[in-house]
Amino acid sequence: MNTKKVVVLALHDELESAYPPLNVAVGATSSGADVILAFSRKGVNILDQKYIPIPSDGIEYLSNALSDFNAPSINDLLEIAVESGVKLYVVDLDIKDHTQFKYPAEQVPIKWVLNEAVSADLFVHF
Amino acid sequence: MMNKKFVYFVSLSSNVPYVLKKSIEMVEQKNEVAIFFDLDGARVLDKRYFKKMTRTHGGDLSLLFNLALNAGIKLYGCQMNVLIADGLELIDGAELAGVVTFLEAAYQADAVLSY
Repeated sequence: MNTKKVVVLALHDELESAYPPLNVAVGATSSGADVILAFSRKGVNILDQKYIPIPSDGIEYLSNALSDFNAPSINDLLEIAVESGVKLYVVDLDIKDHTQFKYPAEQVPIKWVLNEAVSADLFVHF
Repeated sequence: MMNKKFVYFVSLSSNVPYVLKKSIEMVEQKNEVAIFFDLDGARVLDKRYFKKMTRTHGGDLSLLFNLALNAGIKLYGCQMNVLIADGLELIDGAELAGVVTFLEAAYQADAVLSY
């Protein structure tokens, strides 16, 4: 069976926006896919050591619900993704100078991400 | 025009009316649509919240769901959704699904759209 190629682009940093790209990346790599997880716009904040996931206005309950459910944290998922072999990339134009990355991530232009997406079996952005 | 497959991923319940309306339009144009609801988005699939959602998201939410289901749109609630801790009670016509189901649908899709 041919190996699937999956490109996931994280564009936002709200709690409900950070979970889907990480969950999909971890799920895809667990099923044998090669996964590129790229962070752009506000999504790059997820990789910052100082990042604190906050839900959007009106859905503050979500933080407690995730805690009550014993769901893995964003940090946990990121660690699982890295350990599972997900490759991390950041769109260099979106990187702030003061960003301290939790994990090494290669800096690439958005054009590179989109070119990878063209040849992917799945391209999804959140 | 060739039929296309669309997958929507909804993590915010406030986006549900728009996604349902777009999905119904897509199906009317002979396309296939599946909608995955996760996190806050999955609240609309819970019987306990559905009436509240209908009030806060406009009175036609119930109608939109009926139209969507009758049109053959697949509705999936995240299997590992946080609401399950509370006992997620799925509305009729929706199914529980995990990331594998999402991936299978997404691999076949012409476009995956998130809201």
